[in-house]
Amino acid sequence: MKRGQLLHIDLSTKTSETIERQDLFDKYIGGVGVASKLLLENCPPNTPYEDSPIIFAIGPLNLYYPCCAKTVALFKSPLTGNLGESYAGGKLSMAMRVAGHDAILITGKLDKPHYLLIQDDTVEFRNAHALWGLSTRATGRILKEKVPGEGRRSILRIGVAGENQVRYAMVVVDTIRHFGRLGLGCVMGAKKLKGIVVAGTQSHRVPSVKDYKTEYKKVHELVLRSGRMDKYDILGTAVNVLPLNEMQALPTRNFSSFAFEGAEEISGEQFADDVLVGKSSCVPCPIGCIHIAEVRIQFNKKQRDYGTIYVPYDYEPIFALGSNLGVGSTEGVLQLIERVDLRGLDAMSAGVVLGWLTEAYTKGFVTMDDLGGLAPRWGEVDVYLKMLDHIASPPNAFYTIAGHGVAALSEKYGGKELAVHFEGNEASGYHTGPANIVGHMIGIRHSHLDNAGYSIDQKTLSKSMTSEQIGELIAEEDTWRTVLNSLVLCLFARPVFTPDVVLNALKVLGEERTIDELKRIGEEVFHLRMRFKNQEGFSLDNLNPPARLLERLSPHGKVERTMIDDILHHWRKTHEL
Amino acid sequence: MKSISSSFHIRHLTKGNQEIAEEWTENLHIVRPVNVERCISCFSCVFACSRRTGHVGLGYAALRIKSTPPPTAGGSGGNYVVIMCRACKEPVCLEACQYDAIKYRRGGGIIISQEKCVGCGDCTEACPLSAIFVDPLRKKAVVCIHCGECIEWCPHDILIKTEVEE
Repeated sequence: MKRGQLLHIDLSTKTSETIERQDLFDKYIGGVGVASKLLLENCPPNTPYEDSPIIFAIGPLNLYYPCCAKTVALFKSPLTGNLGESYAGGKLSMAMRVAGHDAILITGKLDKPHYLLIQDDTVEFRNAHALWGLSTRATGRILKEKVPGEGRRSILRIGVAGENQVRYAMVVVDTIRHFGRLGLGCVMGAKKLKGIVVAGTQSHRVPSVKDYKTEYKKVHELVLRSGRMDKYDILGTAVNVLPLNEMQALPTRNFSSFAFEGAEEISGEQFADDVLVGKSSCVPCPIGCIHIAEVRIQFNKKQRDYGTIYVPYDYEPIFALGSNLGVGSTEGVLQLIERVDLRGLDAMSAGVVLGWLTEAYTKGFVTMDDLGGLAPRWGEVDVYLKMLDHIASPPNAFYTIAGHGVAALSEKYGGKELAVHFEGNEASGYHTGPANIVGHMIGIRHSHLDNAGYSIDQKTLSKSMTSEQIGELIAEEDTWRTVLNSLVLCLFARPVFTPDVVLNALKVLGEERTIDELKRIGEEVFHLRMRFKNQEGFSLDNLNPPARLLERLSPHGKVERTMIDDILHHWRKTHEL
Repeated sequence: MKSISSSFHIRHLTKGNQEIAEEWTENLHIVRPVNVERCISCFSCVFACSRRTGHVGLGYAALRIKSTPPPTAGGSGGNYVVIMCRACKEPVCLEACQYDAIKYRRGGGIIISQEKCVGCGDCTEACPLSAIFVDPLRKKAVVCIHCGECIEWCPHDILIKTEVEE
């Protein structure tokens, strides 16, 4: 199939052009494969993040099959100063497909706030002066009313956190999905780009309608009727709260313990039974993994003044803004999720920052004066809400640093032993053991999703593995996930898209590949990104796992540094690094 | 990737569509949504409709999913709704067409001649539900012919087939 259209938008000159880059798609499949190459081509060493390119890319399966509904964004992360890689669902991959763009490369920066309206091949630079300073919700509502293409478009926008250069500011995609991690919102803010709308009108043909229908049906049945994705459909990712708590791996009160007494109250079961009002999905995907809750807020008791908010929830925000802050109620967690959503902050980084601030305050590293008169205490939702507002719009120099993450905070104010981050990226919600720690340390974006070390740890609880086996498994997972991320399908659908299914799905669209070929490309793309990371100062010889995770017991007991080094050694050997 | 607009495809589609429509109307039934609160906006029905004609995209799809505003302003608290032809017995769209492109469908609703249609959008404008969609690329109106292809793809059984009188 013919593909490989790259839309290049230059913000500095306010121009755009479409470029044929089929070569890249042949060589690197699509998605993160192609985006990695484009990043290396367009981001010379030590480029400041505001001058770095933003690359969005989809892969050959997007829109053609269920669950192939993600888009990858690559950029220079303001948070880590290194590779920024993030994925979002919603309707973005659909919109890019019907607009005919397999990748979008945004370079340069604007001098005044604008939003982009991309309709098929045309790009409009629209004034966003009146939108600057508005919440992600208000911006979304206004753009929805203002731009054409309802039902065949995707709307991205940032909040004030992105405008104000919070290094972990995120981008809201279609109201309930996000480019959450590593600060894409901050990069957009630096470029004075308030939003991006992508809409298209194209329809595509497949080589054989009959074969395509058969293959589509096969995937659809696997998704819905094999049971492989049921957990996402029923409770969603919030299903993880209780099992992780039970095995004492649920980060609680800034990772100081891993069992939360309020876990039942913020479990997926509790959310579903008490506050779930509807489910939603990305397009196209028949799994309603997006769970939306309703919470009724009392603003003024005397006046009987109430309001109702609707908030999507997932495991990661529940851990970060729930157990990690000692917040043990669905109402409390939902208010905090809503606030990070409106301001445009990454829920995970924001939760870990608030956790650090609370502990650092009780231990005397920071003062009430620093905190603008606020005294954080575990479980105090109202104080945390105010602190989130301060992080998004800093009233003093202290909150500006708080917007740079826990690494920057602890560098300046002390308390490094309380700062739970990997290379500057705040840790995710798992303390399952050594594979999780190594997986985060060497993960290409220091995320739990890079290689799912937490999943290996859970398996080794019942069946032990050597360090060699663990190191090899993490490396294999790095590579296969790079393939899936080049196809840009949802990792929740990983059990459905086995190598056989992937090959057939591609074949029906006219793309013949072999498993060896896919894995070779996966490995190559892994190394491409490692090259970018090394170029930006990352070194495998100088890795520091968070002290706290080595000091506190995991389900595997105390994780010894020697074990980490051992796994690391075998991982490097497998990747030939 | 290039869009599809060759006349071959349009002729092919026109014929296929009308044949399917005539075949199905023998049974005199219509498709309609029920318990639409269960909709998750996955577009499975929309793309099933498109796939029926051999296309991937929205231009050939005869139904849409829309989000309705939430009870309070903004946010994600609205419901999703399925927008599709509800098979009127006295379709106002028919009278709105100046090109004689719309004819009655037995059992309710309409069939649009893809040869005569110029994509002016007058029928969409006339339809109180806005349930006729003009493919901006081909400039052709697309409407549900109640063939029932979408039904089996809905993960929440929202689309059902109902027998109707002539």
